[in-house]
Amino acid sequence: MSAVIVEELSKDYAGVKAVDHVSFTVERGEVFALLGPNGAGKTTTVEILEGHRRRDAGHVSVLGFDPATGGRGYRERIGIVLQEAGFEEEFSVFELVRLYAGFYPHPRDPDDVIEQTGLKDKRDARVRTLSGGQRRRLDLALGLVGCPELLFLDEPTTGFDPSARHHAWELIDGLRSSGTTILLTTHYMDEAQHLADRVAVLRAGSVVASGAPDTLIAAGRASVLSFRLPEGTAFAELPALTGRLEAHGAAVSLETVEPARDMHALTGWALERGTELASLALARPSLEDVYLDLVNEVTS
Amino acid sequence: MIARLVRHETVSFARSPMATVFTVAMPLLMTVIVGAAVGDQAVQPGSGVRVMQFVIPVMAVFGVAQSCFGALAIRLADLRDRGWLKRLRGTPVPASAVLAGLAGASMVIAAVTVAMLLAVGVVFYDVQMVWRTLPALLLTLLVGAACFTVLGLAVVALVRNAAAVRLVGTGLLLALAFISDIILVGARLPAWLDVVGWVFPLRHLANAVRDAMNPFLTGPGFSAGHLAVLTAWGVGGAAVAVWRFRWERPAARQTTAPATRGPVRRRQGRPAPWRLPAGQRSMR
Repeated sequence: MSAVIVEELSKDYAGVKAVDHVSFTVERGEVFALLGPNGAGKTTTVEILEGHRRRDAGHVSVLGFDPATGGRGYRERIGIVLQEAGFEEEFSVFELVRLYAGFYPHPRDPDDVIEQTGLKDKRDARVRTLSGGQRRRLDLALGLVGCPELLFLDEPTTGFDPSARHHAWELIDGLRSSGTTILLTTHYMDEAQHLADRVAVLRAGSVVASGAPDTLIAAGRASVLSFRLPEGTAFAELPALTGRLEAHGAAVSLETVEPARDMHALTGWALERGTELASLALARPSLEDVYLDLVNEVTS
Repeated sequence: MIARLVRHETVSFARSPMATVFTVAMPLLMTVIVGAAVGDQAVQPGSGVRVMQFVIPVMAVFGVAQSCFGALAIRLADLRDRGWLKRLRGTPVPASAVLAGLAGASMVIAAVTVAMLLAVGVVFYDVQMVWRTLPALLLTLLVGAACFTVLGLAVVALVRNAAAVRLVGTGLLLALAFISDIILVGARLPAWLDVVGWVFPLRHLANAVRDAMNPFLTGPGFSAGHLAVLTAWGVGGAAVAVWRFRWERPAARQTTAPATRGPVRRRQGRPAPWRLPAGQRSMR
């Protein structure tokens, strides 16, 4: 059975549809990312799954529980990393992780979790002395110490520097290989592309696309082939190409869904003429390109 | 689980110097000041009963009210504002255990304050323990502590802003102490103020505890009337708390992505002192 099943989930805030008939599933052991601009309904959706909010309509099943009524038995099996939540500042990292370990029936060793989240040096430091990134790691440690089957990560790396982000990614990859199901939200498309097995893109409370990042990229957008026109060559002399050509002075770009065919035609043409194509590049679209197309469709 | 949380919250209290000074040291300081002001004379020549026999009990009551009502409410509102309560709601800890942990810690602090005041009274001010009424004294303090604990929860349920809770928890309590026979003992209040004083539970608790420690009175020392008023306030407070209590910050400051909240993102952290009198709006 799937770890998370969401069917036709809806939630209104004062007449505004924050979440509007959203459906998706997350398989066990999968890393699933919810993407979307601010206000698209990501956090509301996740908070309903966490049991923090009640839904207005729809069906939700998480690990076989209804989060709204799952209670203690449900919460023993999930871990939650909230977007912004404070701590009891007058305690040390170890004291808080140990306190949390005491809440769960089969906790992990607090020191292991502290080491895994990179807080070993800060083990006995009071929380109030921690930096923003270190606090976020403590968030993660508190979410992990109960040994959850399913981990909710609401924007887990916001505010991280690049090296801390890569460290967090390694950690999440490690959790995936140990079989933990992960549902995350993020603003960083490189993060979703790197971590997620599948993603769903939310816009104004609705799912506008879902699938594996590579599938979305393949379905969503052409690759871009670009080069500089050789001197003394007119635009019209170029060979027949499948995609849409655009020229800005000598810089030519070509959006194409058949990059191999066009590349072949173009390089063959250049070799035949004995010229070189300066700045020749084939850019694969990123998830970010596809995402921006999806969320910007709203006006067009 | 509850015992663990009580211990945790008590440690947390002990590590917050401001709370400790306000809650534990204030009644002690007031006792010393009153003691110095009135002098510790015998109330009746030859009886050996001194003025402080009647001051220490009401100060103990003030200590109970401060730790169970003021300190608890401020702490709880602060934890809610910081999102710690919401965080706990995502763990297997039952809601009742979270509140019991906080309330239990307040009881511990109240007990320490009362014990300390009584010890200071006996050692330095010749206060006589009235052993005959000990059960009544303990029961009255317990009922009072429970009543103020519940009212503390009710205040946090009604007042959604931590700074406002701070004002209520310290200011209101202090104002109430003046008309509740705690600071102005035996003062002649205007009739309306006298009535107001009797409406609130603090004066009932103060009188009940003082009577229980009055060596001139006879009997077991139970004051059924005062206890009934305290119980009524407790039940009312419990109803309000159950009806209105929320685990998260108020809706206007709900956790959502910052950019949707408005163009101005205010600096996080403690508000400047001058913001406090401006009340809730300036905090948003």
